[in-house]
Amino acid sequence: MDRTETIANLTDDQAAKCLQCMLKDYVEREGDIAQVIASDASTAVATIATKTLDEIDRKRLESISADNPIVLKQILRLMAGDPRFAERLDGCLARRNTLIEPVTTALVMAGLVILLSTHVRISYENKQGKKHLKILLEKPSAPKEILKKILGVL
Amino acid sequence: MKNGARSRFHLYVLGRLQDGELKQDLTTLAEFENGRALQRITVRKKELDDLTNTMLDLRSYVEAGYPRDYSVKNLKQLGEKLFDTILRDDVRTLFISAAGKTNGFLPLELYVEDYRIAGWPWEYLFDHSKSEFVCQSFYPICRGIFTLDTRTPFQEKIGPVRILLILGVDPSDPEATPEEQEKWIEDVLKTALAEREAELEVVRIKQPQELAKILSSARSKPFDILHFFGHAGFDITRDEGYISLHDSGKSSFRFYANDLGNLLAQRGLRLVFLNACETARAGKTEQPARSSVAATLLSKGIPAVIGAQFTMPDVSAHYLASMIYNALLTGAPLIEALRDGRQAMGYAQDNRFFDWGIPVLYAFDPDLVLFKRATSNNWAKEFHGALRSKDVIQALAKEGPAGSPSVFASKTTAYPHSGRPKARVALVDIDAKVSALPELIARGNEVQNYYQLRIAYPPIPSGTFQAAKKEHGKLVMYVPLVEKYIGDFPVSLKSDYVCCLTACQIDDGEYSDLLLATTGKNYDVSVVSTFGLRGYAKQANVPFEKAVLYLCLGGLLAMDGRWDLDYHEETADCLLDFCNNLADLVGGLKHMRFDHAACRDQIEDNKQLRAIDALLALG
Repeated sequence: MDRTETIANLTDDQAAKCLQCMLKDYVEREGDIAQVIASDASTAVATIATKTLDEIDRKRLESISADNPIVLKQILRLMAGDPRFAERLDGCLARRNTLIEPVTTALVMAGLVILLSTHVRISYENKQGKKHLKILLEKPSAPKEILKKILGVL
Repeated sequence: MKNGARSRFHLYVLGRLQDGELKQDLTTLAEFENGRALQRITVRKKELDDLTNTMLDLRSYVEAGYPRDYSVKNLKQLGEKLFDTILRDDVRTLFISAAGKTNGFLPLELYVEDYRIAGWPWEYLFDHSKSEFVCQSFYPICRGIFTLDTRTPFQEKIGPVRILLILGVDPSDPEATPEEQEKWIEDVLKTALAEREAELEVVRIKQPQELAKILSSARSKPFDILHFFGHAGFDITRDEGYISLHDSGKSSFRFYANDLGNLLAQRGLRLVFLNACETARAGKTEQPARSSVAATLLSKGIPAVIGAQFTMPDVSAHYLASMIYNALLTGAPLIEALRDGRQAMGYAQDNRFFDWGIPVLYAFDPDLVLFKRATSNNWAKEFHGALRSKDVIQALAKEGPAGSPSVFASKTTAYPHSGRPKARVALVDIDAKVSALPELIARGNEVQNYYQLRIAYPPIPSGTFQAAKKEHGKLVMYVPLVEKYIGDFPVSLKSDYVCCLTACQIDDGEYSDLLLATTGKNYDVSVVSTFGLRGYAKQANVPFEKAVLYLCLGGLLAMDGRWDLDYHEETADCLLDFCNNLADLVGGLKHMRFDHAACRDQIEDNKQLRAIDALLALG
């Protein structure tokens, strides 16, 4: 069974757990992104959307529920098609039931942050002792395409 | 050291590493009896970076199965690097000398000052010269913390050992099976509970205040062991671990290490067993005693805490708990009990080569004995002998002296009828752990009086069956190897028929993926596999225990020598479908009737037919 088929056969809950597994692995390796995923995922995605999507699409994106299963599976499909994620995804698809707590409940936005982070530099900068989210978007076409593909399944 | 206490090897890794330094020094200090060895270690940045990456690979493989080609060889290489880092020159010489002087186990107590290093997976230390993981051989590892706490250890426990089992997760959780955890622990403690050597209170906690209330009300009669089963994790942004309390919805409460520690301090607890993920994981910027749940509890004065440094697989967690309590009941010290538990994790289906290293023991006293046993108790010796034996099944078939946590614990389910049953049937739940089967069987005995159904449990993880072999990572029970022993079960259990339930696949020498195989001198023992059965039962919308009973009834008919019945190739949604394709079983489970004329018409005993119909009709 190929990845796409495996993803299609996942139950909603399995899809969510699989994405949680990807998030956890990503956070372990890319420590800087942990804070973004934990508390600023929506802000990061909204900022990127402002720079890439029109208002209608931005509103559609904002209205996606945190654990929309259709979108979760689409995020996994996009990961399956990305060589940076594909092999890790195999491991997460074959994972066992564990007693781990989810990394976040804002799954859709956190998943998007991961997908987008390969095209967008997301970091924090200190301004007068306060942390501010900094989004550096060099080529808007790639993130725009990802967000369009997400909206395409709705 | 206590009088008569055994010697331990103490190893202190002292010094703090600074980021970015090319070369840094650490000091190791080892102590064994009167011996002391001091060693300065120079750690180069490149070595440190390599080691850190290797550990990241291990974590990534444990959590997400990547890199795909990570193997036991990589784990050994990591363990060897860890070993060579802290056990060098004089320290190694002292370790070798200590190992040579000790009969039996030599606990290795490890104290690490640097926060990052303290969180390394020390349980995987690999001694290349002996080609063994230190923790798996005679040197079980126990972690300690630096503390100014000088409180004296608890007095010896008098009276029953009180256990508080906290289920922090809802039974509907798709990843965790709390009812199984409860059942496995209850099974193990069965005799101790009956003998009032132990008291078990099981609670489902959704909020910390519920736990506070329970602990407060137990002030006059404190709990000795707090066992938590549920979800947990490590908050990287906060650098602190937590256990998670779930309500029946999706919301959960993160009970962070320090808050939990404050609640549990001064409650008289002797052991906290955190059967949950990452509860022994420590932070990078904070000492374990403030970041890891297990170490924090230790710093709050709890003498021993078992946690997990990675995610804990649900099924392995049951094996771990079951075997640890088994060993504790025999009077084994905690560190040895944990060693048995590690071993048992390897027997779980779908186990991985690194599972045994996931549990971590933080303790002031690794030799803590929870259940005091007189050395004259023969059963403990026999029980341990059985566990160590390669021939556990033989020991399983032996009844222990009355009152002991027997190697073979039987549970008779009442037969509420006058007169004698036509057939006495023992269902031996070897490792299928069908939690609701006793209730179903009790109802089954009410609705018919043809069969007297009884249940027997061997209270050890089935994986200790050395007669099982592994094929493609799956545990298979090879019937020709076990038939000599299980063939005696009808006599030892005073039954006409025996159905042995196993979660393994069954190989009868001809087929390797059977649902059921019949054996025994008189063809009166069936081995029934529940491998994959939960899934099939779910598809058929039938409770798991009912599906198990369905298979057993097929086995009973096949064993009944009066009729010329055998499994047939044709799939007719019948109890006797051979099910070449195991998924064909779903049809039979959905149908849940015995009306296949070709089979039914051969049975001339109407009472038997009525009994089967009544059992199949159980709701």
